Amino acid sequence: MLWLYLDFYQLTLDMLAPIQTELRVQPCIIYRADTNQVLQCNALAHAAGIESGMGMAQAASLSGELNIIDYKEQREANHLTVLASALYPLIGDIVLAPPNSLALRLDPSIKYYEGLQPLWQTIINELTRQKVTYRFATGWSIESAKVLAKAKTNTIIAKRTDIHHALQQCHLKHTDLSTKQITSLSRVGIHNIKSLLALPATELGKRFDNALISYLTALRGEVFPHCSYFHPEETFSATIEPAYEISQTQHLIPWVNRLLNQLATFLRLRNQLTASLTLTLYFRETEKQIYQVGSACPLSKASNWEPLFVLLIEKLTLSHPVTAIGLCTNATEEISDQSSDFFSDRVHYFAKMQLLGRLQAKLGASNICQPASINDHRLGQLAHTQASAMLSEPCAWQPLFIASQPVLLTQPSHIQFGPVRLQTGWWDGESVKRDYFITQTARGEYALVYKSPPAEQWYIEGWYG
Amino acid sequence: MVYSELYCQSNFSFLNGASDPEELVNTAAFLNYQALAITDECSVAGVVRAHAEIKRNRLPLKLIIGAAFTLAENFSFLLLCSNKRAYSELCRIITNARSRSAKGEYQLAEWDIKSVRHCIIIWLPSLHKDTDHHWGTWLQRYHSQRCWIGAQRLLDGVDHQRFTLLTEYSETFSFSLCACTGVLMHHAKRLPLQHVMHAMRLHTTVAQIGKAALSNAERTLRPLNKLKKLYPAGWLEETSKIYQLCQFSLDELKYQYPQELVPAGYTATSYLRECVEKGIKKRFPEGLSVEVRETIEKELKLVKEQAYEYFFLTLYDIVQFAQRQGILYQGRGSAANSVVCYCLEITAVDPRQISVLFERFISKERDEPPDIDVDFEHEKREQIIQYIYQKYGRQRTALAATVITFRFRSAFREVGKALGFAESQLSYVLKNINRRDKALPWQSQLSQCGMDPSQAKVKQLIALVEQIVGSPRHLSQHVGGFVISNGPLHDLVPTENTAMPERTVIQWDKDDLESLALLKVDILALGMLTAIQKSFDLLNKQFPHSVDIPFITRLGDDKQVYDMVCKADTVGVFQIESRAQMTMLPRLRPRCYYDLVVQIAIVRPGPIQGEMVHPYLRRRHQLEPVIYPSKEVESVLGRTMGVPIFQEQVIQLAMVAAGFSGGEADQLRRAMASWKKNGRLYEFQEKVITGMTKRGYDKHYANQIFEQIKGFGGYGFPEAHSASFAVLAYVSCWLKYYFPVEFYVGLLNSWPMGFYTPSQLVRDAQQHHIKVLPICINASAIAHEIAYMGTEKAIRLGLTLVKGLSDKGKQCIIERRPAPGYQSLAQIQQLPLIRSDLEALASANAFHQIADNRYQSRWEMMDEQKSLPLFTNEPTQQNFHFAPTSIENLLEDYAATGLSVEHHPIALLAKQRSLDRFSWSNDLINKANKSFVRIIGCVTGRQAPGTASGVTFMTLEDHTGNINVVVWQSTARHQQQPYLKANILQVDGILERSPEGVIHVIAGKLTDRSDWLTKLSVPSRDFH
Repeated sequence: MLWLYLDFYQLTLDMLAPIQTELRVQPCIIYRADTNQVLQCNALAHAAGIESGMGMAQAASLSGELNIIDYKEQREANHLTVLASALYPLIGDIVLAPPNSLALRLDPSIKYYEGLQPLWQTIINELTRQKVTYRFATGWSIESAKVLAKAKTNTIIAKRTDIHHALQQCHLKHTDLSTKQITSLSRVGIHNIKSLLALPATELGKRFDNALISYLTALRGEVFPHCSYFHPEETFSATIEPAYEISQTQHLIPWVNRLLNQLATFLRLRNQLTASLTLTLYFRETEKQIYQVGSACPLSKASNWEPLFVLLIEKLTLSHPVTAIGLCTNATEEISDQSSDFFSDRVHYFAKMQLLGRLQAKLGASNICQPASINDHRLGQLAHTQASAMLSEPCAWQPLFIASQPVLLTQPSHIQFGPVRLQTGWWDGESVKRDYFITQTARGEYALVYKSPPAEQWYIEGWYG
Repeated sequence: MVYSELYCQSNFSFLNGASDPEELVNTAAFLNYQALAITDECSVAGVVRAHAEIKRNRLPLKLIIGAAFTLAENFSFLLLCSNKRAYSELCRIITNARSRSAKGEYQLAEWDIKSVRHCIIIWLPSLHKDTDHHWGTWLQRYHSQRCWIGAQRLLDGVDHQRFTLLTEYSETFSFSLCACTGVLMHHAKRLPLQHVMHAMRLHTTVAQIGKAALSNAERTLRPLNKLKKLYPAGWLEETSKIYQLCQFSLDELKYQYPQELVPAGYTATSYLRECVEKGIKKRFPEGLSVEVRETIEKELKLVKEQAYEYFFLTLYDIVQFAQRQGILYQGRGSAANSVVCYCLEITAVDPRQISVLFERFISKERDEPPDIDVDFEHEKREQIIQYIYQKYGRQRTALAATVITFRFRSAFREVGKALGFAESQLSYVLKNINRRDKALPWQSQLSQCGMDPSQAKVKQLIALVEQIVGSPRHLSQHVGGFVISNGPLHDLVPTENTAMPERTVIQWDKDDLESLALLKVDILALGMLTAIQKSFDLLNKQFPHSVDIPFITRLGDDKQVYDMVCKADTVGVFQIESRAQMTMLPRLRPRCYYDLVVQIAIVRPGPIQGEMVHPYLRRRHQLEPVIYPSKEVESVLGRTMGVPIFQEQVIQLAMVAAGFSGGEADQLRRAMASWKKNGRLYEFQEKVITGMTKRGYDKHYANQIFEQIKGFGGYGFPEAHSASFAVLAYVSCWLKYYFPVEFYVGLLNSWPMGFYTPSQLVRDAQQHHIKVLPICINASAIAHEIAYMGTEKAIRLGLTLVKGLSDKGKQCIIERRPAPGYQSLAQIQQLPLIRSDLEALASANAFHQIADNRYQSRWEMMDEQKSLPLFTNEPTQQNFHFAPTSIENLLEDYAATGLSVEHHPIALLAKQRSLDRFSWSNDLINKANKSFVRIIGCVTGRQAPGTASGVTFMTLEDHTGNINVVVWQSTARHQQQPYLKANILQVDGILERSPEGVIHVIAGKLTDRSDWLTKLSVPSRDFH
């Protein structure tokens, strides 16, 4: 067997750099708060003396203009799947090692590529296209290839003697042994694999548990632990988390494009099309917002989908900064002559979707909503919030209809209830300080009115059913 | 219209109330309230502050003591104290509720409330009809005569429903309705802070609290005319009735110290006098001078007038116990101003040696309890605490509380989180803000850290952090302040559990106790006392004459000891061991006890910030004349050459030069102690300056004195305090000079304590030509010991130094050690030791007598089969061929024991590499001033004191000694990597020698040489 191990040691940075230009011009680190460790750093951060494994205090003291991006394991794991999907057409035997590594079994594919080097060159081409940085190595098992990759060997070798020789040079810290086991071994002078492998297994067995012995046999290529191969998902669903929150809609477009490109790859590999996509925007403080984008006829290319999304995004107003963007297919279909059949029953469905998609794209999703209440004292927020956001029980005096903009009260009315004083919302720039009353107008309508200081005018906020 | 607010929670209802008790009572008085009830949740922690504020500002407001409780879901109520018995009842209920729960929580039982006989109950119905009917019936059954319904009008949309229901309950259960607010803020402007606290409590952001948050700012102290519009007149009048019923004041609390200490036939006064007379014979065997006798009589008279006899006798009893147990102790604080304390052997400072300022200790005018702190050996303090608990019982003994408040860092982080800032951004800003930068306040530094101060959210963050800093966060226990009473403590103040088992803490802190004139005894721990006692024990085994502190102080000032001190050879001694102290020693050149008192007090932020150090040194060395602006000032500053060094000197100056009365001067002292917290010191500025100018001092001098007072704020040492410390400093120096082996052994056996690691102490011992023997399985005891090599004394390191070796393992090795010692590893493997113990010993090279390769020893110890009897004689497989190099031996020494007696990292480097161009620590004395030097050493300390405006003092250690390196801010900034990261550092710089011979190397180029010896981990004391 011959395995290739690819260690994408700065996957988050690679993933974000093409879109976020500041990552290329400023020192930047990927930081894991729970362990207080710098996990990845760009070249400029390296130049400032920052290294992986440092704590925040030290890193911050070395660079005064440091960009810090929170590490999210899931974000890396998601992108790893994208990479695996991209490599899948080239080589079928892929094992995921989340969050940031892949193992590829090369030996069954060598003959199709007429040799190891052409195969490796094909893999390199795809990885270059994906714009990722990686360490790599080959070995007779996943374990041995992993050790060699972690030790930054960066060589493609197939001969057993060469692999054996390279392995012997590796330090124990590159193995999967626990820190405790490595410490235990170094305290008796064993620091590298050569020393470790020189000891008889029986002697090691007296001192260490079976897991260590099993690992060593795997490292030697004597046994091959069971592994699960990667199989691409049946449906497309991807989420991308930019390093920074996005508060301007035009900044959403590059990220959506990236997702559309991933979708296009996905669909092309499966010979599929889709006529409807779901775009999900995630916010830190409020619930996610979901938008459906439909097309009259099924599409696959990113370039076809992009104008529809641009149309949608241009109309959007972001009430809160976006933290993540998700895209998924609702249904896919095989590319065939039937797909373009407009005369079957599906026409109504597509027409509806098309109409909805166009309406949403033209008018904005916020104009298509249903009755709801939100978890906020400010009733005015209802007029600006998606139906799905932070639902809660309505309060007793909440009217059924809320005006999108308060309406000037022009007719004489009688106060029936109140006052209810609201003084809140100081934190988001929509501060409210009002006394509300329920009044009955001369026409018998019940309205929720308020007088907000210092204005002397009364306004109607909503009506009761 | 009159109104009393009966439901008000201060910020002692943690993360709920947003105003402090002082703000609440001031505002309530301003709004013409008749009374204000502070009703924190199951707590009376805030009431003393409210009480003290009312007294301080003479506010026309009655304080009602009470607390709010929740017994079950939907059943909440207030208990208010009508009289002293009701107060005791409330304290008992809180104590019981708190004792059933973990720290910070409480759990009421129905019985607690059923048994209420004196408190007034204000029921706060939940508006859930079913449960309200259940609890209404329950209250009617047990408390029909003392229960009211509290009606809140909060303009929250349910007022109408609330009023309808409460009126219905009132009719059903025959309880009267009274108006109340449920105040959480003294002013509506605190609403954002209340929201932020709410979010902190729920671990969320303000935006996420949603409808659970307060919808408006009505839970504030509202003006009377507004209340009149909101409530029916009858409900408001009802508050006045309750006001009439609540007659209790905290002034009624009278506290009695344990009476049992006075034997039959004596009064407290006569017994105290007898104890003092007994002490006089011991302390003054040559007889008393008239002056001292007069002072004693004056003190005893004042003690009697203030009825403090029991307090003195309680302390006397405690120190007597310590004496019987052979536990070393020493009183400090203002007690050292008392001759009575000296006679009772509470303190060790001979009053003839310092200027006793008895007013500092007890002042009739200020009517506050004296402050006596007693330090005990840190390893034996628990014995003293157990003695107190056993003697007086847990019901009568508790620790004072310490109120943990929001500091800048916690405030910034928690407020930031509540406002929705990302945690990593907050961490980054916190790491980058330099709070010591006086030129640029933290608010202005935010923009450098990527936070735009013009953004609304950042503005909110700044404002809220400023508001919350200083607010209480939770209660903790005081380090050693005990309150001991004659009767059960819970009659006086509620107690609650602490995080430590078997300890209880009262709900008041030391300031509260002081405000109510309650006495506390401070039982503190001091590592140096342990070290000194251990050294004495070693000496007393060798010599027939007992050596103790009085023995050493009676010998008088010893020239040779002071010679050693002047050379700054003070590693390990008490107080004058820090780098700043050591730099000052050759400059100040102490030659007598009082010089040490000055030395200890002068290297403090107070005198340094007040710029008093250089004038004092110049005058001491006769480089400038000693002048006094007046006779009165001379009387105060005469003993410190016209420069105020001690805290009480600035207080005395306020008295003699600015005309402060004794009581005013003491208020000034308290303002100084807390001025960083509340800035009250500025209230005295005008009085000091006008007082002095009126008395003929020029304005510049008056301003200078006020600046010095400010400099002392929170940082000054009282003379008596410094005097107590100077005794221990001298004793430790004496031991170091005459009995260095005993000194180092005592010190090492008392670790952790002090400024230096065992590695540095061992290095210092070796530099004093003391042989230090390594840990040995056959020779070491558990503790470090004196070993004799012929007639020469050496230090044998003990097993205690082996990292990871269990206590049981240490015992086992000693107990089972055969007379000829262990002969083989196999023999040791048969001991009932756990594998990690065996491995730790092997790595520490404790088997060096029987096996010379520590790697091989550890490998063998890892083989668990060897400990089985069947395999005892199994031959060792000869397949292990690893042996440590000398560098690996050094690394193993540090990893296994934290030090190496054989090797120094720099000595090893010198063997491996050509380091001819480097100067060693002991060469520097021969180098010319201002010459270029290249040095290398392990970094053992990085300090950037706030008083040194950006300069970092680094300590490098090579195999010949320590080198002091000065790194200027710009040097550090441009060479941050080696400055912050280096374990082994090369410094190319300029040698600077002061006229007194103090050598510093001013760093030019810093080079990180850690890669010359990877894996070495030398502990460094960084930025403490």
